[in-house]
Amino acid sequence: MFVELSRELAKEKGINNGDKVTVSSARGSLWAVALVTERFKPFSVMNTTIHQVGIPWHYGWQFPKDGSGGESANLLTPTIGDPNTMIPESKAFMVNIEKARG
Amino acid sequence: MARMGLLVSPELCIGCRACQVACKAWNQLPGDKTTNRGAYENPGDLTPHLFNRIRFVEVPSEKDPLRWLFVNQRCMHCEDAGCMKICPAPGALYRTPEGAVAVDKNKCIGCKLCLAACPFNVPRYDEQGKCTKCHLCFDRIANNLQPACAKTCPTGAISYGDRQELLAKAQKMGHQKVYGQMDLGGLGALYAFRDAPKVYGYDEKPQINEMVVFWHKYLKPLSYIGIGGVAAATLLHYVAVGPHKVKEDGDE
Repeated sequence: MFVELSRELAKEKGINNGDKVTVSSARGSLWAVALVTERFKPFSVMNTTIHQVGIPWHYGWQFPKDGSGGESANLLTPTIGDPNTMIPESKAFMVNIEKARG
Repeated sequence: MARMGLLVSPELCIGCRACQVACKAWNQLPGDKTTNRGAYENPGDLTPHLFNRIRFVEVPSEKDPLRWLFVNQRCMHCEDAGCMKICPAPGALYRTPEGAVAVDKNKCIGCKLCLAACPFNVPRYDEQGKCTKCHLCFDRIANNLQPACAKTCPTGAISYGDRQELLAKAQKMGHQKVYGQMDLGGLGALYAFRDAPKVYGYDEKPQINEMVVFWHKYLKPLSYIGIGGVAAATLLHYVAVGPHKVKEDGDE
């Protein structure tokens, strides 16, 4: 698993490219490799800086067998959906990111 | 036969890495176990089982803050190839009729001199201690097929053909200067860069290591003089002094 984040957020959190980080939401947390990139930029919404991070929906403990692929993004996703379209709303939600301890 | 080559256009590449997969499939190369180091490129460097790979290069600028380049890294099949120059095993690194630099593993003695001689850091050594690298799919092109990477490339970022025609094609695409047109006697892999080669991670003027040239040009002929000198001195000694005779009444 990897998580993409902006240079600005990485600097704020003291994360370097390739570091092991913990991403956590209200529902759960997982570890990932930080991928610091120019392709994410902080937004300024109503004078508040909002950071965006990106995670692929991949990986899991099943393959590769030794678990080196990392954890699944499903550990973080909320169990809510749009009642009109019957589509789960699991593509955008709030998370925290910090350097993994130990 | 006309010299064949590849034209690599990084601006056309979408970074799908099908070229890596196709190369592995054709050359029956096993997978490499890798770890994520915080990059999309994988593996992080050429390996004995990876003859070409895509480098993902972020080059943010004022004009284009999201510029992301995908550059194919491979053997350049130089006309003036440092590896062929330094290789002491006759026929281990050889030029095919199409102009590719190929490796004969059976003739490779595993001396690793080509590592130092390559200006692009391409040759790798496998578990048997034999040199491996891109050979422009010499077995395919000899049968009028494209190399596996060029055949599979969905956007035409890697195209194969007559080197002169590829140069003309690059010029038609608006590239006044093509990387590899004149460098090292002309590279077999031409790169259509829009910016300075440095932006794409290539030397402005690729050169074979001076020590290699020095070794090949001066030290190696010196060794022949040495061998010849020893042989001549031996002969002279035999004629002038004659063979050594053991004294019969000696102590030992």
